[in-house]
Amino acid sequence: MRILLLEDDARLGPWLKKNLTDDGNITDLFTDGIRAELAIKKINYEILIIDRMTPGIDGLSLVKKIRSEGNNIPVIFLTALNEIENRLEGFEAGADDYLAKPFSFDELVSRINAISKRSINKKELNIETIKSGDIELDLIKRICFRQKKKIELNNKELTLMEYFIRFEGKKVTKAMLLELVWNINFDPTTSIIETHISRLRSKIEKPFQDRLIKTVRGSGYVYTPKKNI
Amino acid sequence: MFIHLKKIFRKYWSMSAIRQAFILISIYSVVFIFCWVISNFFIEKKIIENIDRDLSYDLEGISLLWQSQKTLALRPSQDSYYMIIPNSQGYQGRIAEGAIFPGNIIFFPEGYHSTSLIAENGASFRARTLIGSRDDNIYIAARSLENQIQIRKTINEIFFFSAIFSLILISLVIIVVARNTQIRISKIETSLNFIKSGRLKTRIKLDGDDDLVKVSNSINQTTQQLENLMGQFKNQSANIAHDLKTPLTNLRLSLEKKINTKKINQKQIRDSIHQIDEIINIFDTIIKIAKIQSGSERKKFSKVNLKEFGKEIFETYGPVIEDKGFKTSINSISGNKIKMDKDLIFILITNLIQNALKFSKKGTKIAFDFGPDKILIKDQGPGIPNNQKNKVIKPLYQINKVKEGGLGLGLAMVKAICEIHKADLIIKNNSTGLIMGIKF
Repeated sequence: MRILLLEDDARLGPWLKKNLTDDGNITDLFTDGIRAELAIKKINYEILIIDRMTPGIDGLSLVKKIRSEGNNIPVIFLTALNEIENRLEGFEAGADDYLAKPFSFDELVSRINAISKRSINKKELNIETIKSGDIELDLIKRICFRQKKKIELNNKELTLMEYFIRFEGKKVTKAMLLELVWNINFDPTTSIIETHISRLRSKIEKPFQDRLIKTVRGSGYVYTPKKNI
Repeated sequence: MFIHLKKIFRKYWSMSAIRQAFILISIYSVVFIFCWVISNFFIEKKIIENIDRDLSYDLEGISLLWQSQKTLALRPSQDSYYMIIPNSQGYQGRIAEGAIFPGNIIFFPEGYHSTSLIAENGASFRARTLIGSRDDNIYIAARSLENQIQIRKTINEIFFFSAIFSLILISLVIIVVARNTQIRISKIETSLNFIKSGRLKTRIKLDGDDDLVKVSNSINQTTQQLENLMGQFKNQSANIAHDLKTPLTNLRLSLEKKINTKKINQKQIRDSIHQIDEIINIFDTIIKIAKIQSGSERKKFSKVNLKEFGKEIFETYGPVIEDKGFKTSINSISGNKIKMDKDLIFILITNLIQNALKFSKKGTKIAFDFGPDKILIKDQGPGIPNNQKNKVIKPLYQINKVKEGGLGLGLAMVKAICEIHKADLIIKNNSTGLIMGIKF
């Protein structure tokens, strides 16, 4: 993946570049907004990772500018400003995701993967039903079927399943699930995610004696669909 | 010398009470002088009016007497003077009575005039005259103004001395009052300078019940608040520093161990990351509390149906509570929509649930009450001793730190969230456990 990284911190920027490159990406690091803007115009990046406060043009203005020019490259904001209004500001400017510092590299990679997947799936967001392997979700009637059998899921479990399907094969972190399903931007320190995933598993996996949602220890979950029988 | 005087003037002019005193004295002087001038004017006007009236009677009298008896009337008083300049019936020259009139008086037009006459003893005096003509004769009546001049002089002297006396008296009173006020203002200023230099225990002590006392009381209350906040801040800073030392020490020791053993153990690394996350969490929570207390979160308020909100919360937390081995239930009552910041109330409920889970025994019940104007979380734990209720809501306070673990910030955040909603924080022990919540 060709990634543009705009980060002016002398330690964090090169560190991120090295690790993103080690992960198999081509990463261009910029420390000021003006140079980054020029590069965005010349190179077809697949994702932009932008620090909100940078010299030259600040990250927020840069994203507003490229969006106003009709550029829809997925954008992740990196920032120390983590209040809800800061997040809203970021999303209103056109960011696709928002990661507060300090963050784990694993979380960043998960979000990069998710966002690139999401950009592919954008066209499918409004459809009434989504299918993945032998699972089918009716998003209007809020019903789940596996192998044509109806599975009783409550609202939160169904939303969880929906996001697993949307990010199939990609790691989804707990922080992402809290944001997407519960709209929580803080760590509730109670096992909300674990409990709901455990219940979801008991409904969609246990009767079929297989495992679709795998736990990535300490960081998140990966959903892999079972091929249609 | 001039510069020195200028400095003194500036010093006193900068004192508002002294300046006001000076202005008041100046205003009083101007008003007094104005009254003096006006009084003088009206007194003189009245005197002249009275004399002019008497002169008109005199003139009529002498003209009638002359026409009938060719003689002048007897002078009604010592200060009345007459003169006739006959122009017929064989009389020539002037006939004057009581005084010598000036020679040019025959050229004066008819009417009232003020002039000087010479008395029989040769003394000159001021007089008011009325000149009139009847049957070709010219009659002049005059009255001395000496008495009136004397009266006016006396009145002016009275005015002058009363002005000086009252000015001195009033100036003294105003200066004493102003000095007293200035001393009180200086006391406030001195105290504020002490407070500015960091001596927050300073209080302004003024006697009385005037506006300066009210201002001083307000300043004292503000300083008290400032002192409390600074105390809390110092306390919290010390607590934060203390609380950070434990996880930082653990982290340091574990990293040190890794260097010494030269073994990289996945579990140890995960533990180190977990400890770093805990430290970050302490900062995040403290920042969040400060943010809530600052009131900047107020703009996200919206009207929420508590019954619906309760359903949402129960859907999220019901399974969590059950999975941890507790029983749970919800009781929702419909009511009016409540204006709240839903995200903050979610945080409040999360904190209360965490506490209930932490302090209650497995198998007991954690129940939710939603509506009509309150949210309650009821547990069957040990409750909070009455003497600890006010302490547990203070940041970083824990009843039994070793046993409980945690940051001691949860209830401080709950309290801050209640305050921003102008709602009451409910902490109530009952026979079965603790009831905590928010009443809007």
